[in-house]
Amino acid sequence: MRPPQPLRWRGQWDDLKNELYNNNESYKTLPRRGSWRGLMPVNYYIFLSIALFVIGITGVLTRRNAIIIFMCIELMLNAVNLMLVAFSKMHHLANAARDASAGIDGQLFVFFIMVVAAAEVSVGLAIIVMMYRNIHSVDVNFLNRLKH
Amino acid sequence: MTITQILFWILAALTVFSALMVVVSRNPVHSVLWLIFTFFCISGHYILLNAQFLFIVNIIVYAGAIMVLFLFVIMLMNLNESSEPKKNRWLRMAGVVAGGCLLLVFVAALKNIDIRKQVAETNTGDIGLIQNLGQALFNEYVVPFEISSILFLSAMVGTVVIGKKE
Repeated sequence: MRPPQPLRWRGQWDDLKNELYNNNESYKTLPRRGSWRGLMPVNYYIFLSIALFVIGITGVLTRRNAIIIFMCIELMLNAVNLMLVAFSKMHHLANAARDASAGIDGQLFVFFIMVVAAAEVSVGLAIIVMMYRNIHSVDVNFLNRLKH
Repeated sequence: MTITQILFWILAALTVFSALMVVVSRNPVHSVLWLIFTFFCISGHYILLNAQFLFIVNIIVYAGAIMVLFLFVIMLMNLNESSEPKKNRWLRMAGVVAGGCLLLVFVAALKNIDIRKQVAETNTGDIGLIQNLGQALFNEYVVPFEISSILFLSAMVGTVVIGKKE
C-alpha cells in the first residue's frame, strides 16, 4: 500500500509559474522569482461555479414552493456571474500587454445580468403573488391548470 | 498557501454550504436568509478578484433589493414550515440523482481541460474599478444601457398591471 502523497503546493505553483512565464508574453511583466501573490488557477473558480449551479438545479428539481424555485434560479445566475468575473480577470491577465482594458466586457456583462435579474424578479414575484391570490398556495403542482 | 488562497477556500466552503442550506431548509424565511449569506460570500469572491464595482452592486442590488423583495413576499403570504408543500420522497430523490449526474458530467468534462494552466488575477488589476467600467459602459455599451432602462420601465408597468386587482 502506497503512503499518502504530501501536498506539494509550492512545487506545483513553481512549475505553473515557470510554464506561464516561458510561454506567454504577457506574463513576463510579472516577477520571475518569488511569490506571485495574487494568482489563482481559474479551474477552482470553474468548479466552484459548477457546484453552485448544480445546487441551484437540484433545488429547482426537488422543491415545490414557487418562491424557493425562484431563489434557486437566482443562485444559478450568480454562479454564472462568478464564472464570468473569473474569466474576465484571466483574460485581462493574459492580454494586458496588448490591450489595457482587456476583459472589461465580462464584468459589464455581469452588470447587465444583474439588471435583467432585477427586472425578472419584480415580474416573477408579481406573478407568484397573483397566483397566491387566486389559488391560496404557492405549490407549483397546483399550477397545472393550463393543461386542462 | 498565500492569504488570498486561504481566504478563497474559506469563502468557497461557506458559499457552497450556505447554498446547500438554501435548498435544504424547510422554512422559506430561513432559505431567504441563507441566500442572502450566499450572496455576501459571492461578493467576497468579487473582492478577492478586485472587482470592486460588482462587489458593491451585488450587495446593493441582490442582498439589498432583490432579497428584501423576496422576504417581503414571503411575509406577506405568511409562509412557514407548516405550510410548506411536501414532495414525494421518490421524486425528491430523482431530483437529487439528476443533479448529481449533471455534476458528474460537468466535472468529468472539465477536469482535464487545457484551461487548467490559466490563472485568474486576484488582488491586482484595475479593470474592475468604477472608473474603467463606467468609461466602457458609457462609450461602447451605451445602447444596451439605454435599452435596459426601457426594460426596467416595461418591467415596472408589467408588475403594476399583473398585481392590480381587477
